[in-house]
Amino acid sequence: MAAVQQTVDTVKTLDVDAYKYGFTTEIESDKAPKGLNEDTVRFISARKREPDWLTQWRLDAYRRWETMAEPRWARVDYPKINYQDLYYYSAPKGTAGPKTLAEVDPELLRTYEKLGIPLSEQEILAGVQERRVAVDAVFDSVSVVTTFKEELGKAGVIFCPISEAVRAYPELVRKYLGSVVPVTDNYFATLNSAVFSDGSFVYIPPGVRCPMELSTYFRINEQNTGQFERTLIIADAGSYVSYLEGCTAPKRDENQLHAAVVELIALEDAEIKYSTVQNWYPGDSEGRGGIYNFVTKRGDCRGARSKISWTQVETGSAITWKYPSCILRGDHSRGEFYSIAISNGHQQVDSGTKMLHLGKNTSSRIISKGISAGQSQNTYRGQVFAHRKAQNARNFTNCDSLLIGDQCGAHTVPYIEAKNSTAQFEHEATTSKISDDQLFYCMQRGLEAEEATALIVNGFVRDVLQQLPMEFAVEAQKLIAISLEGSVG
Amino acid sequence: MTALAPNPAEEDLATFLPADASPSARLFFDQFRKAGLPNRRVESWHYSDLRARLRAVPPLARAPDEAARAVARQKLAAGAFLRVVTVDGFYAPELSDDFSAVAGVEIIRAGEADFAGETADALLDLNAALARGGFVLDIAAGARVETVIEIVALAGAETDRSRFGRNLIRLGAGAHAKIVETRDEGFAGFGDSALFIALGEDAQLDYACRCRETASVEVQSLNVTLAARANLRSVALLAQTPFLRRQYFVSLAGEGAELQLAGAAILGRTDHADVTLAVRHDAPACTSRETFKYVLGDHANGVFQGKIVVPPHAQKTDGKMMCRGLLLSDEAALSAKPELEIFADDVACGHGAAVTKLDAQQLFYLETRGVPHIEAEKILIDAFAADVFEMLDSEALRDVLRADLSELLGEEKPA
Amino acid sequence: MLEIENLHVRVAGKKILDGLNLTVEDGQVAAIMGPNGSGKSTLSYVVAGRADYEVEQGSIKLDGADILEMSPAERAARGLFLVFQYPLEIPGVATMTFLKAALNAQRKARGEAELPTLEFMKQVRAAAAKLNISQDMLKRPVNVGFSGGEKKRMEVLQMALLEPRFAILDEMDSGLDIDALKTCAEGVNALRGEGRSLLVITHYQRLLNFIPPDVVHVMSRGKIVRSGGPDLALALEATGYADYTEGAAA
Ligand SMILES: Nc1ncnc2c1ncn2[C@@H]1O[C@H](COP(=O)(O)OP(=O)(O)O)[C@@H](O)[C@H]1O
Ligand SMILES: [Mg+2]
Repeated sequence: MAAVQQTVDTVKTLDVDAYKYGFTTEIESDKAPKGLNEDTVRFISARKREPDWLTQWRLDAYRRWETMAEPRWARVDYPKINYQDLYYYSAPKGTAGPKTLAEVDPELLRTYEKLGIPLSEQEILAGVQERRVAVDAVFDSVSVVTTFKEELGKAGVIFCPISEAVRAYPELVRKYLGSVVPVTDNYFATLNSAVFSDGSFVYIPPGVRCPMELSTYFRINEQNTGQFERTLIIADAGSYVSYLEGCTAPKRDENQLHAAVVELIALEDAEIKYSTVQNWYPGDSEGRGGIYNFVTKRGDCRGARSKISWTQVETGSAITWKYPSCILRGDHSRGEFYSIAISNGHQQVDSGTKMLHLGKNTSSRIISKGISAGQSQNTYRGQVFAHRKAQNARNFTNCDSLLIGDQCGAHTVPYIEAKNSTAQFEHEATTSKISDDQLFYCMQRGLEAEEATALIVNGFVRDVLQQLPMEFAVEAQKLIAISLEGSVG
Repeated sequence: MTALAPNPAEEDLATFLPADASPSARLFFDQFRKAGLPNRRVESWHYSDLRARLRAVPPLARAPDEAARAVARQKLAAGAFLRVVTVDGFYAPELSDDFSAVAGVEIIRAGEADFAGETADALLDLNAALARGGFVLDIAAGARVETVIEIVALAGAETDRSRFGRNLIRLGAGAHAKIVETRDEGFAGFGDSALFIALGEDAQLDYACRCRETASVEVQSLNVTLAARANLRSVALLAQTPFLRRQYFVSLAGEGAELQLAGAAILGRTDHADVTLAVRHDAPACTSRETFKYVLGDHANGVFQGKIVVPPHAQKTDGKMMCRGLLLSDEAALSAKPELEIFADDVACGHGAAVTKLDAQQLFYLETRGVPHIEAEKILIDAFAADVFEMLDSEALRDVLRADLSELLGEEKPA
Repeated sequence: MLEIENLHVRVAGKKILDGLNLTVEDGQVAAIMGPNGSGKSTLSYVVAGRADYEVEQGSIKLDGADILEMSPAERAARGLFLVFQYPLEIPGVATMTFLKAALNAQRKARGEAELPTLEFMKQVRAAAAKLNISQDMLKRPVNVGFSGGEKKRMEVLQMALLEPRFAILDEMDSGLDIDALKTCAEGVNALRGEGRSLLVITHYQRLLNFIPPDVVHVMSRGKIVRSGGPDLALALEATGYADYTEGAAA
């Protein structure tokens, strides 16, 4: 309840248009030459001192990408991206290899502090609770530091930049990289496979419950630079991990490209909980600038009784194209998708999930809450599929949209495909505005329109907020109010 | 985008366009040629790949001669309703009943000018280009037609033909009518028919469609426009459909219009039935309810695509869509895509979809009361499907559909 | 305390209040009785400031200040409280969150400090206990899944917590059994006193046995057609509203 008040206060102290993470960091960087060709791919691979197999893997992807066309089926509209006009690699000077905290450029540490992500091993994120979170901080194309590595190492947990994992754990990387999202999966995933820069690698050994939350914090700083993060998380048999990513970028007038790939693998009885608070720069009130967020996230419930749960709070980006999915391959495996997607201004969101039921007795649950305000367009697109052999597949989907103002749009496009007589799918969706009666009731009790709206919206998204780790739930609640700012007439 | 591989059926279709085709017919045909037969990459045809299915088309059906009419007449069993008959898509006054005694009802041959110009779909374009000799069924403003009118579509001497029926039902302001359409053109051939329904202000229509026999590849397009406060209740019963696409393009064009659109598909063998709806709430304060049910056995494939579109000015829209499927076999499949596309904020819209199986407790309950398992299943299936008939006002129309359904499920004929 | 003069209100183009005059004195308990559809709920919504009511003419003053231009929240901060005839459900919003947000918003508007959480909890618990409201109910979202009686008790709980100067009770008795009615009435009566007025809207005399009014007004077709002492309510119970509805038509 304090959070509600906090939400409201935050709204009040902010001007319209005040994206709070919009500052830039003045730091010298090492960049690949502008544009994309085989040399760019080789350059990136060489900078990261990669083994030959990976260089080849990237080149294959690049050649494949050249033959592909950008997908146009989503309800998002943007000018053609000139892929030759971007930088594909940018690293703050002096971050060639993994660092300890003491070695990190203080300017970078200050940046993360300003973002509310203290990169120290004593402090706690958001300062809410006595709870420690290990952070991997990715700045443009490289990871600058990963905290708590030693302590995690004692539990056998590997948490490091993927560029480091390629060298330190080549068998693991080789075995799993591209095994969930194949190189040729889709245009943006293929692009990512060719030029991916950094991201996190996580391996939880059999039977281990990861002793703390893991998180990666992505920051795009450089101008005209694409970010192509690659994250790979493997939860071995019977293990558990909760992982969170956060994202911000400076305010810039031009659009920036972010094309990430995240692969999750859960073996027998393992569970992965993956939460995202995405707050990339959304562009200004005229629709100038902002991040193009084209992301492929997929989890593979490979083992029996495994579970993967995606929770996302999407408030940023000019364009969001993102469908965190679950392949329910193991018998009795379970997939979950909880989403809050808020669009305001000129933002366009096309997001949802896929639940592919392949094994026997698999179940999935989708809760999606879309809120559109301003002149934004917000689309839920989701697929639930039961294979012919997927005995007793179960799905429940609930997907609600809320409209604030009469200039925006809310769309729902579910694909429900059952090929097995024992499948039981249930889908319900509603679209409405905040009821005048509810607003009036709150206002009769003394709340102003904006507070009342924040309160009702927080109620609307509560089922999803509850899925987030506590400290991030608070953060997310603040973000929601900020993103809706200026939308109440 | 790679160019589409040529499809011989398209070449066949091109030969159907007569040398003396009107400019507008040519225009429609060109539009069709440009788009080509839709394939699975066309989003709205994703689940019914017509291009893959239709590799050749049989010869174009000609206007019926005496021999064709004789065959059709034999199939035309004695019926209880006043009938308008088409043979191979052509209006056949010789086989139709005399409506002169029914006040406010007029049936005339349709001309190109009778149909709204724009189309939204390649197969509707094709129909506009090739259709000849349909009818316009006109119900005068204010007329309350109590008798049920039946439209019967029959085949002529040859069933393996390409047919392009194109008819219009028009109700003037305040008119009331009840119409049942019986489609009985045999299981062979290719069909691409269009039915236009235009309701004037405050008009009310109960419309039931029984697809008893559909061609080996058949597309049925319904183009519906409702003026202010008009009310359409429409139910379709689809069965034994080798490959059917039934598509509705509905515009709730006048304030306060009401639409109830429903259907039940009872499919077996390798039947394929695709119901695709595009319901546009083009005016404020309109209500729509869409309810479709599928009973799928054997290798049947059911498809439901429903889209409710609410443009920015259509405030106070109330739209609810529901699709339910009952899968009776592991080889059967249902794909449902209920969509909402909403640009107005003061709306209450929703959709639901469910894939279920028969309720074990209900089955058990019936069995404890002495009903054999198979019978109990039939009873529950019947109840599941027949539920959608209830939205019709006319008891006579509901009875027709109920009887068809019992027949399909192989039940004892109701006494 | 409350002065309404010549109030004309239209709803969806239809005239509902037609030159209504009403004064409620400081500390007074006034009852409004009237047949269904006479405009009682409309009156309470207009006083509370619901947006879709078009005030064509007239004025509403609370403690001498014209409130017609004020937002509902401003009116609430000035001590106006409405017990809704049909309390709203607000899914997902915990009752405690809601209560605290409302209470602190009002305190803030009046320039008072926020209530410390512990003190707030104590107050809510005490009030809840008096009204037979369980801890479980407080944990649920606002009014969601509550029975009709539970919703009304929750309204009275809010009233006890917010301590309004002027409360309108719109058919508080509808949907209540006799025990719940007693509980609610006790809650309301506890707030009676100096500097606090009540406007009790009801269809039946029954409620007035539990909350005895100082004056009774009869409303019909959008205006007050008769005013009198408590015995007027008893007379109405005996004769019904026929006199007023037909009389007004003549
Ligand atoms: N939103 C509305 N739209 C149209 N008519 C309304 C609306 N609200 C109330 N009314 C009408 O106003 C009249 C008075 O209603 P109300 O104030 O609820 O009466 P009461 O509370 O005395 O029963 C009734 O005829 C009712 O139908
Ligand atoms: Mg009332």
